[in-house]
Amino acid sequence: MLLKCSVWGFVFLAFFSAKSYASADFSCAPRGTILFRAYENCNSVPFLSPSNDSRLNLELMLIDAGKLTGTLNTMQIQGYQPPLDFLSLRVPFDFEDWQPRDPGSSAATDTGSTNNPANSNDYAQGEGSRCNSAGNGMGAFRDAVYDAAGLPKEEASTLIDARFALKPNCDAATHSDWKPPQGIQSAVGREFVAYIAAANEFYAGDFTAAINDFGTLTNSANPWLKETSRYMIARTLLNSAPRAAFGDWGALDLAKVDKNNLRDAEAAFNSYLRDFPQGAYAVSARGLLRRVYWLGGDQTRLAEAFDRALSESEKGASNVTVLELVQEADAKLLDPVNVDKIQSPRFLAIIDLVNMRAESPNAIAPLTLKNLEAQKDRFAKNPALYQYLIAAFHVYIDNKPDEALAQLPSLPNTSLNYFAFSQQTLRVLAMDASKQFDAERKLLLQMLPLAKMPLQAEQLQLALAQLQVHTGHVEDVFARESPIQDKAIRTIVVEYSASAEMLRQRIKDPKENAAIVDAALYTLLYKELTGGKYQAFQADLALMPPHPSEILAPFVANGKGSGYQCPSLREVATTLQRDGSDAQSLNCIGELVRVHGVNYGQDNVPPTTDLGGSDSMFPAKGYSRMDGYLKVIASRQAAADARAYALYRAVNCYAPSGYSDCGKLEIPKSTRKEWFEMLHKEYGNSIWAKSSKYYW
Amino acid sequence: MTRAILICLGVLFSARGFAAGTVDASKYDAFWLWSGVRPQPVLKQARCVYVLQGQIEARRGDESQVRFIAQGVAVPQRQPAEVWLAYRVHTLHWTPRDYAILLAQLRRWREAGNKVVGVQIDFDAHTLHLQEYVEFLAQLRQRLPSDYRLGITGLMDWSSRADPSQVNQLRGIVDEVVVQTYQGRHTIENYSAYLPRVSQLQMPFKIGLIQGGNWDAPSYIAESPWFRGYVVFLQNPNGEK
Repeated sequence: MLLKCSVWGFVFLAFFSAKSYASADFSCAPRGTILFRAYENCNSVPFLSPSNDSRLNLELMLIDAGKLTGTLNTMQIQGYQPPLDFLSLRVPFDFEDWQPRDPGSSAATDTGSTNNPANSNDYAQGEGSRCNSAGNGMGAFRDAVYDAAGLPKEEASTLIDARFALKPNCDAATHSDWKPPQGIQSAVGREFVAYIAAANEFYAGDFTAAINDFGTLTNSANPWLKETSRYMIARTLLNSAPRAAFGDWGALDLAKVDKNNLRDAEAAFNSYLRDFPQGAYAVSARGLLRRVYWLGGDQTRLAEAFDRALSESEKGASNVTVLELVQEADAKLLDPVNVDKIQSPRFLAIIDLVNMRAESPNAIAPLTLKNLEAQKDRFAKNPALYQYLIAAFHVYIDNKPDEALAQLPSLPNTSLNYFAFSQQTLRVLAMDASKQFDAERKLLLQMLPLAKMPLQAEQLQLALAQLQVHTGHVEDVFARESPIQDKAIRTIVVEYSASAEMLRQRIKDPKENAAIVDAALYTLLYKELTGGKYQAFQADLALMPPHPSEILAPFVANGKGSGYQCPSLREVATTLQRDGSDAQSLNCIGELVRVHGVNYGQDNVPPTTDLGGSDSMFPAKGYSRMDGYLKVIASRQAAADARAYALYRAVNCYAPSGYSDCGKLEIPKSTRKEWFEMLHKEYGNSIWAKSSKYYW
Repeated sequence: MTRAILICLGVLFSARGFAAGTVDASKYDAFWLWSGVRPQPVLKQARCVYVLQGQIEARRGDESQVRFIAQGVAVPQRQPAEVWLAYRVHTLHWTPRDYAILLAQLRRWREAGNKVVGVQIDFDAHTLHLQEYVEFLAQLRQRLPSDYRLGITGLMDWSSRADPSQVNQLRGIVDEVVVQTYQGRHTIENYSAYLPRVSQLQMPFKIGLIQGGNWDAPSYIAESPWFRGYVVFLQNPNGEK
């Protein structure tokens, strides 16, 4: 089930520098952890988790059952290279990037796809209109007319024209009159006229008349009319059942569905299937029985019907794909569902996981251990799944990791399908919760060679990196034999966790990836310069490669020629080492950030639960430009030009929105006004005063 | 644009005098009717209803798998309120058939005797899609018959510090923006901190509230010449769904 997640940021963001990816509140904000307690479609994980979209959990089960395959679509937007950190993690992933496929059907035959020419009507997938068959019905009718024995040729074309004239809109408030065609003399021809009349009544919503007219054809000598009328009677009954159940605003009240119609519809579909087991409409009839169960509120049989449809998904046995069934089950079975009615272990598990979400708007009722244990018998065919749910309860709800571990099997020695991987992942989470870090590390390392399915290895690398950082083994992340090779994970550790010395090792390691070397050098120099480690900064400039990348170049650039004059950052650091309050130099560090932006998330530390969010061996100082300007403004000894510039910049931090662009510190508007006046009064002749027309 | 200003004008006037506190749907007359939410009696007094009708999604980069999934209530007959059909949009790579389905749904709603006035796009905007989104909206505007308006939803964004006057590029493409003050089922905790920026919007905007959530209207919102009133996101009582 999706949650509403919509977004406003674009209008504001469109004018941001391309470097401001970190502001992700309005969009998917990927995080460096695999444990989420609430619904997170932006942070999906490749194991059965309460936080996953219910469709993903079902799809993982169906992959194990051989019904689907799944991969992550990593195709990137043209011209856009996501920064090599959280936005490049493959686990967790945005559910939108998850790409399940029916192995039997290539994308081109996916009937749910809207650009498949086979989908000729203009109804959405799952749009409940009986009119959606009006188009296909035309083709079938034409073929039947051509095949009809004893039908004169000219009558055939009259009949086809008459059927073609039927372009119904089932939702319309009024229906146009339909006139039967003239000049049909043959007996079979008149039966076809009766059929068109019945179809017209069906689409126009005159169900009683439709049932009567179709009823005259059930003993027709024409085999198509005989079979089709049987099927159409069942469909008419099915459409008749909820007629009175749609209230104002089209809402369906299942309690108002006509149970007699529904029972008759079910009987009619079943008798059609009995008489025409291989009939032209057998697949459709079986599918429509799901609608009977849905309208009847019979969630027990609905879940069973989904299980059956999923297991019989081979070509021909179903007119919908496995992916469409996943979608349909999500809409018709899970929303809302009475868990007591569900006997299917698979769907019970999906529902229980939804109900384990923290603060779940979709939860029917908060799940208790007692509720869960009461389901035990219903899992008789899949006790391992039951134990998994009990264990998940202990991990996600009542925090009893030891009891979770007692429910879960030890690691098998074969490669892990998604369920086995889920079991072992729960063990990892339980060990972590109970601080059995050595056991956790051992398990993660043992799982790695068995993790062959998509995204499993990426998850293990992330969990291992979190563990290594948390237990003070950051150096192991970068050890030669380290299994943590994912570039995004290594970059995050470089950005947030590694010590200065470890960063130097990364830079010097000839085997290290170039992008990670860049991240390490940037991190080292940025944290040193903004953290007041001026001597180390000067020394580490020696690590700069002869042809630095774009983000590194500003650290070694010569003095800036236009606007505010700054010497090189080496000179800035030398001056500050001598005099930490040198106004021009403080301004020039501000210029680095103002002109070039901050690369990586240096000043935006992730949540403490996530990779990089705690246990840093080299924490960033939380630099803000405003801090520097405040120091200069406060310093009466500051050179006139430097102080004027600091005032000018500090005022402009609030331009033009009235919100500071220079750090979290909030400055009252009255102070900004004072700065503005000070700039004009004390430094009225400076170019900074002259170019300062407003304050915000 | 003139039409957009006139729409739901009653909302604007009737909403101005509201006191602070819990959002009581019975005091408003424009609503969202989302999927899974049962229609409530307040809809009888509605002047304007935004009805979810579908979700357009794709696997990113794989346009062969664009799906237009029906959502929300069935087409009602002859509702007195003005109706916007709302769509959750997860991909901007619409196929011709997606546009055809959207236009057909608009037509079917009108043929059922409803006063359909526009389409609202609720886009899950990734930062990387920004320019694309604007282009998409321009494209959709072009395909939409001129007697339908185009609107979008937006979330108050508290982390960006850019200039809301720059929203201007959307004027002429969309007729209104409904800025949501909630996430999930709850009002954003310090929503009021972001309202000054919202009030600086230079295009028709409404404020989206959540039923049962909080709303304490600052006077400057109603003073904005672009403010067009409120839309209340209905939810089922007691958190059931």
